[in-house]
Amino acid sequence: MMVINIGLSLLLGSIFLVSSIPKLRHPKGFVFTVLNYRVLPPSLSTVYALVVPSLECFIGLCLLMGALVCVDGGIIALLLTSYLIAVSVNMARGRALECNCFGALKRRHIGWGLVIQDSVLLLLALAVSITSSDGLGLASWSLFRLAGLASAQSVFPLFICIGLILSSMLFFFIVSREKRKKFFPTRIY
Amino acid sequence: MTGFWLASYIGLWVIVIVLILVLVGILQQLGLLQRQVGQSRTGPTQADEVPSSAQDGPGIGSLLPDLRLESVNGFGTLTLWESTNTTLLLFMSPMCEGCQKIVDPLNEFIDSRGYTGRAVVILRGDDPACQAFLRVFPLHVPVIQDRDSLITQEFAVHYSPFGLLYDAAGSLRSKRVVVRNDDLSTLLADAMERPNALPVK
Repeated sequence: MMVINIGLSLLLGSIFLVSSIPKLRHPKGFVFTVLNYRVLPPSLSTVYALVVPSLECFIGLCLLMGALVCVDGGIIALLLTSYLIAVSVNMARGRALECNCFGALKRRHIGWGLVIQDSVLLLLALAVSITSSDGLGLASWSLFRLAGLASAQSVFPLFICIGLILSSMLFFFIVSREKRKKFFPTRIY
Repeated sequence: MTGFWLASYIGLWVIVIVLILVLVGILQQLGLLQRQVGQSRTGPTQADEVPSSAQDGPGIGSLLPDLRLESVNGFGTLTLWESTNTTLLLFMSPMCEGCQKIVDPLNEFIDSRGYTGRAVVILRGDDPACQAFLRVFPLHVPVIQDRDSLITQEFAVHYSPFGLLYDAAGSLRSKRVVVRNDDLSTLLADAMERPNALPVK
């Protein structure tokens, strides 16, 4: 059971960490994407779009570090449920939106493939929560515990996660100020 | 020993984060390469010609149509051709990331760099997408919504963001895909320096 928990935690952690980076790099683009989905009112959409990338990054890092694994699985399940609702509503409306799941890294339109993918990830997130036996503390397989750097209830790894997120946001902010930024054209029809 | 473990684990995490960033960068470059190769196979414009965009848009010297269009961001009705000044037509699409990134530089050019000509953005997309775009990326120039792609097709523009610069006589003087800030500044600087120049090329 522990092997499954470790494998799924590392898999989901990597996916969410990678998907959060383009959103943190181009936050306004993600705000536009959420507004364009037209599921939440505009003010709530903006709040959602500003919170989700940091949350994805935090959860991804926590899962990779083995911190709060049970809670992380639950939060990922909630996030994926919200994505599934947004995608389903717009599919029902017949709109051909870009998913923007991984920002500019991978462009794809919403459709049944995306619904199946998110549903599988949702099941994996629930499996992570269910197979976790360490409650709110550090998982027994966490490198911090194995190295003797932190106890089961230590919050030290959480501060590392928060520090890494704040550093990444600062880094992306500085990079976005770069004047000679290259814009790649998009074929429009 | 604890200090050694701490240093080694912090070092390892730094390496992991750096490797993730490198991986993201490589994947992004691969995706962009794939997109450009795809365009060169299927599109009328070759990928290596995209920056100069000689084949896209109307021919140099062609005249700006005398169209009256309604802006969607409070600038009222406007006529595309005005005989008094240069006109920059910028074609954008809400979901194109390059268009999103060019809004701030464009506003900056218009607000602070003394461009005295007209700039008009043609935004191709449906109502919700255009409204969301203008909410997140407010433009300081008139925006014409191109709901059915009629204007975009009239001007034979296949890429966005794409700029067309017309002189005061209404002739197309230069055109280009706006790939970087320099492209925008080149277009606008040309308009500022030679507002009444004859078409080149």
